[in-house]
Amino acid sequence: MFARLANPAHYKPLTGSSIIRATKRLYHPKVIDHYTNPRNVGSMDKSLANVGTGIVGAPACGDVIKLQIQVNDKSGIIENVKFKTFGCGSAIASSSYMTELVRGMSLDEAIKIKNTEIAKELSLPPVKLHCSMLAEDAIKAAIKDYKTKRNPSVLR
Amino acid sequence: MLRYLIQRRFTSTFYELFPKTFPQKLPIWTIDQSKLRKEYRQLQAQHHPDMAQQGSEQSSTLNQAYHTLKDPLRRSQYMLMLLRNIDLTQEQTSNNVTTSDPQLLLKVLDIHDEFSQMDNEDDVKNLAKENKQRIQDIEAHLEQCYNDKDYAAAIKLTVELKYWYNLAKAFKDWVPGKPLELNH
Repeated sequence: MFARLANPAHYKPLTGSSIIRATKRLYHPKVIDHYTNPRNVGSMDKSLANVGTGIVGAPACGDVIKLQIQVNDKSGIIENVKFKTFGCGSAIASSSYMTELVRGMSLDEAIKIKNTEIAKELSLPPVKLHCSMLAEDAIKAAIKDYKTKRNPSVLR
Repeated sequence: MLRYLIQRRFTSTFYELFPKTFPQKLPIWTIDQSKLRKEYRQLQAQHHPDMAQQGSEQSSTLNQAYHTLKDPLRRSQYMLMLLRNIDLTQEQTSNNVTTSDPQLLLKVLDIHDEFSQMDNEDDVKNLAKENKQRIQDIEAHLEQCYNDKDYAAAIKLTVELKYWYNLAKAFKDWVPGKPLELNH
């Protein structure tokens, strides 16, 4: 008890808003950064031919991610990315980081992104790995949607 | 592994802990909440750590059992574990047995969107009311499924119920201007 109080590390002020401080789980600063200041939040018109939309859910925890990519039809480069997430801090941070990662990538590059890459960047603990998995599923679903729109005959 | 199976075989289920409420000792969906609460309180009085010397472990098991059985979502998850050996609280398992309906996910996001722009308590209350109705409808539907032993449908509904529970929690925790986050 006293050893804990005496340790100056415990006096370090926590970054982020009071809301973060009030949560039970302590997040890594990178997660808090993406959570308090999420990048690329929003929506695009999903009826546009050059927009691919991926909507995925995690049945066990009930998190939902919608991730949209706008692709340059000629170059196959992802030019714009938007997301909306209803979920925990790690799910929001994972999808926010994913949008930063894939912007400017080709579809072939983006489809190869593994959840471990996101988990590592955000230092997600093992119990939160499924959040990064959900973000990976979301980008894959968005790419699939775009390709289906572009080439419906090939991909059924 | 063998030890685990033996243990599992002889460990009583949460239902068996309440013999007055569940004389048949079998997993059942429809429960008498007031009867269960009464029996729980009686048992806790016997096993409370202050009363019995070795009551602490028993007391926490009773507590866990009671809260699992009284809550529709947790009861349904527990029943599927007992009856079908499917653990929907595990991300991997639940991903394997079910794919979430995109229409459902879109609806969840739409409601969440609407909610996140609200700054008026009455509007939030209305959304919460609609959500409560959805939850009650699913519960009624689940009752039917368990009566008919339609476990495939029960799994689907239980997964859906989790999403509405999350929204219900967000509505409950609502404070004007506070960003949303789920804790689990």
